Amino acid sequence: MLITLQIVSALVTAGILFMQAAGLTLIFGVSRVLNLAHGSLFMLALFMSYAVSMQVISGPAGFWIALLVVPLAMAAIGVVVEVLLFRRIYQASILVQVLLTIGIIYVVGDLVRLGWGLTSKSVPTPDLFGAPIQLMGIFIPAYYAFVLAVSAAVAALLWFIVQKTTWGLLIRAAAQDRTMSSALGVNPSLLFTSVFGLSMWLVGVAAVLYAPIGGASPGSDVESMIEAFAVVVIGGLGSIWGAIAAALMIGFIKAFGILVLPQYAMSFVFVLMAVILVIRPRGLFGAAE
Amino acid sequence: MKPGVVAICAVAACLACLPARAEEAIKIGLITARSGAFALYATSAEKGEILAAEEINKGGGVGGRKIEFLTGDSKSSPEEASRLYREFSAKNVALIIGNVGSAETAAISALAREARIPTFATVGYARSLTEELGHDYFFRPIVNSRAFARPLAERLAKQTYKTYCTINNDYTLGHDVNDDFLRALKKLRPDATVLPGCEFWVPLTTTDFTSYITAILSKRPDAVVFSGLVGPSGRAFISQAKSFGLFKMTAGAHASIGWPGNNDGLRKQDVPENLVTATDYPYPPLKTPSNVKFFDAFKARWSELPLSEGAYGYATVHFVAKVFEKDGNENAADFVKTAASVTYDHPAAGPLKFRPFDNQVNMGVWIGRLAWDAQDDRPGMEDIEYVSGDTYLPGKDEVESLRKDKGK
Amino acid sequence: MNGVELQRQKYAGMRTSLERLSLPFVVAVLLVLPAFSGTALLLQVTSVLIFVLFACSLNLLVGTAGMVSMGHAAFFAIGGYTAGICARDMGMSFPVAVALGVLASTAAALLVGSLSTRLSHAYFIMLTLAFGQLIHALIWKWRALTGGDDGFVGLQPPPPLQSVEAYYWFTLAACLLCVVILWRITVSPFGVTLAAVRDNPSRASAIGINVYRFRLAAFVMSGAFSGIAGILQAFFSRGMFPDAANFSTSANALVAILLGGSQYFFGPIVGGMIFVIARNLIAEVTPYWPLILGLMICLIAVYRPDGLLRLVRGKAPGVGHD
Repeated sequence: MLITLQIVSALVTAGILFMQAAGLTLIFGVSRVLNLAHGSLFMLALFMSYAVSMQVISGPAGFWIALLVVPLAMAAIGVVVEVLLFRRIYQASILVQVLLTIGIIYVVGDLVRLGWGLTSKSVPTPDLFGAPIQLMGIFIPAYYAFVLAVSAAVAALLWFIVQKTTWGLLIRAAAQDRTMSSALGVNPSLLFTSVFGLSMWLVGVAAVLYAPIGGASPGSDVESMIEAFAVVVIGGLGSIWGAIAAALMIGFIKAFGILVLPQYAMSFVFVLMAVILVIRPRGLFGAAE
Repeated sequence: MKPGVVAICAVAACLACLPARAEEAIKIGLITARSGAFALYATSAEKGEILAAEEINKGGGVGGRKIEFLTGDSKSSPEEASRLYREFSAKNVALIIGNVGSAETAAISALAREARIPTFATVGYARSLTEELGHDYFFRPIVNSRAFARPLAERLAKQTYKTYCTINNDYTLGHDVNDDFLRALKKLRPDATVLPGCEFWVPLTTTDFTSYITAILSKRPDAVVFSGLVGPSGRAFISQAKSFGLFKMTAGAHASIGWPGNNDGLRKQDVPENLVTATDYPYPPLKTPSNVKFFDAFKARWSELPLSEGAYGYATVHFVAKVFEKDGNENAADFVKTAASVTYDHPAAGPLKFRPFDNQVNMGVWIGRLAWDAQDDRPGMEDIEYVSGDTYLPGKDEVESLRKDKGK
Repeated sequence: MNGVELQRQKYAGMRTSLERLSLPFVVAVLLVLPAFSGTALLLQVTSVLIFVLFACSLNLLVGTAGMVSMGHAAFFAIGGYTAGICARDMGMSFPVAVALGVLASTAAALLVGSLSTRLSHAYFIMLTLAFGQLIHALIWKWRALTGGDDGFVGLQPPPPLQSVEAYYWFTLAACLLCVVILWRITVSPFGVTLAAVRDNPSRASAIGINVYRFRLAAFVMSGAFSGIAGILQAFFSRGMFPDAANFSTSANALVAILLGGSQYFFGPIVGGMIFVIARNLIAEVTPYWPLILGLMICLIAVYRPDGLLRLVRGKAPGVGHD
């Protein structure tokens, strides 16, 4: 029973982590910008899903409307931020890129404080998933099964987009070689903007799903950023498959590591990250810069 | 010369930010974390302090002199808090109040020892502040972290629980609280044990407890104690434990989730049944005259409910004014001498005393069960019982030996 | 060796230009400051000086070598903690404690640098960030030594340096000395080579420069000077706190570098002053200072990516690294 439970919890952790980090790796893949504000935008999306499901629409429909609206709103924010800010710094030095995203960390963090105050907010689990379900002889909350299913579906959707559509072809081309994609006659700014939107949509989905589990808390931005970073560092920047593999590794290391060394939970991910980077400096599946 | 010009402007701007000096009034420095991790608690404390000062000034001040605050934002950073402390001490304030977290409090307390300015801390409850690190000029008008251990252990020892799991945030308070609790529990119930491999330490701000909860579930302890899970961690643990049905299988206990600042934002349906906890400012508010007066005044002045820190800040400023009044001056040495003879009137806990050997107030906690306070539409407590600070605070000898060990 | 030429020109230009007058002027203001200012201002200026030294040491890496480290706060903290522990708990004398503090941050920088400087750009940023957070976690966990999150307090500078004014003199002297050394490094053949490596690593490597060695050397030097800033901070604040090793400490220094302009040696000096003063002034007015500061940073990153010094000076030659 213990093993099965830990596997389930590892998969749930991995599912959320993957959706959170996939956007970061996609943006880096096409634009080579390292978005340090990724965690801040995740935090913003958590508070937005709190706002939609608790403040705007309170009732059982709240969660479902949030699941529809928040990712779209995040995508819109992504598009606006890309057009207004990021577009202007693709050619700039990496220092300027880093600083723009540090500026966004400050701004988003304070906007959340301005909008929702200083306390953590909890978000209800949708009524539909109130009762636990039986799975392989153990009881798990139905909501966790739902999260698992959605993250698997999102991973499949992302695979379809990246592998089977023209858009995906362009994303892959840009990740391989930026000059090649423009040689193919691609309008780079449209590609960048749409990828930013897609990434923020993913962040939105991850946040709406995570809100009933972890709530929304101010000051969680840097923590989320580092978690997403760990995923893309281990998996390799720009690689979706790397992100999946890394999210699973982190999920399993967390779930089983605490059984062996319950006192040192804090360092697992960092140690894994450092070891991987020393052995494979570009992560598991990272492309050359 | 242009970078030079920029530099001159910068220096000039620095000169301009020195506030003008005020005469006559009694100056008190307030170091408040208006931004950063401790802003929630600190702003409530600051509001209590302002409310008290307004009441005192309206009533004619302290011997005819008004109380005036010099305020600075510590940004929840110990370095900033230290700098502000020395700035205030250079401006000859009579007293300094730190509405700042434990690390910041440790920083300013070290400076207080040097500057010999009476210094109060309304947010930092780390045990060591009045024990190993304590000195004559540092006063703690709030409970210390020992309040998290003994009362809870006593309550749990009365039950049949034998096997325990613990899960805490990995930081000093988490360790202190966990160690103190287990020590107290062992003394009261030698047969109680923590299950092997069931003592978890998680990073601060962890909000995904899935794998911990499944691990605890499979160990089947009688009770789970998670006193050291604070802020978002405590909140997230409760709601995830609820969704896994953890509290149906094992009892839950958290020493401080009853504190208004810690459960603010918890919804009615998140409140688990039978979660033992404690608070240092109970909701629904106690109906004693002093508490009703404070509660109504605070609500009217700020249009929000006070947290524990609001009550502490309020009581602290009133206390300080009484000591100045009694001394007839703001001499620091006189203040330290007089303090133990003046009562500290906490709105809810009533008249209390600072213990002369460590300047820790003998404030206690209310232990009970987490519940929903329908009247104020926020989480509260039920079945509460006041446990006096005298029952769990260390005695004079213990404090002295702790300080001596530190000096080694 | 075009980049090298440009670097030479840049600093040669700097020496003949008006800084020749303005630098002594700023130093003169700092020298006479204690005579007419109050304690509060001296405290402010002392903390600005320490921050500026930290930003300058980071800029040796960011500006001259073109490597953006997000984990430099770790070396700042290691310096401060080591010196503090040596002085308070081991009973060592002040100079020995300071020397061991510098040694510890140098050693830590050598370790982290040898693992991370082989990587470029994005991976370098993330690895330095990860190591920085790991060291932060270590300080947090190693309570017996560091005091954990309650902080390391009760540290005292030696009696002659205990007054605010004496410590100001000490900090001023230390910072001036370090800044002059950093400047000499920047204009030395070593610094010029670093800039060449920054501007075109493959060409530098083709003409026989060991890119990795030069980057590592810059990383270690930068870490050592960060450690000195950390030591000054520890004795100034009478203690050290885990947040000193945190992401935000590194981020603040990077912001200072951006504000002034990474391509100017004086960039972090001017930027550091502007950053601290702006932050403290805005914080006096509103607790929402991070919002205003953040907007400022975004606008400067987008519209004045060369920093504010660019407003008062011509475009420096040799800009446009990466």
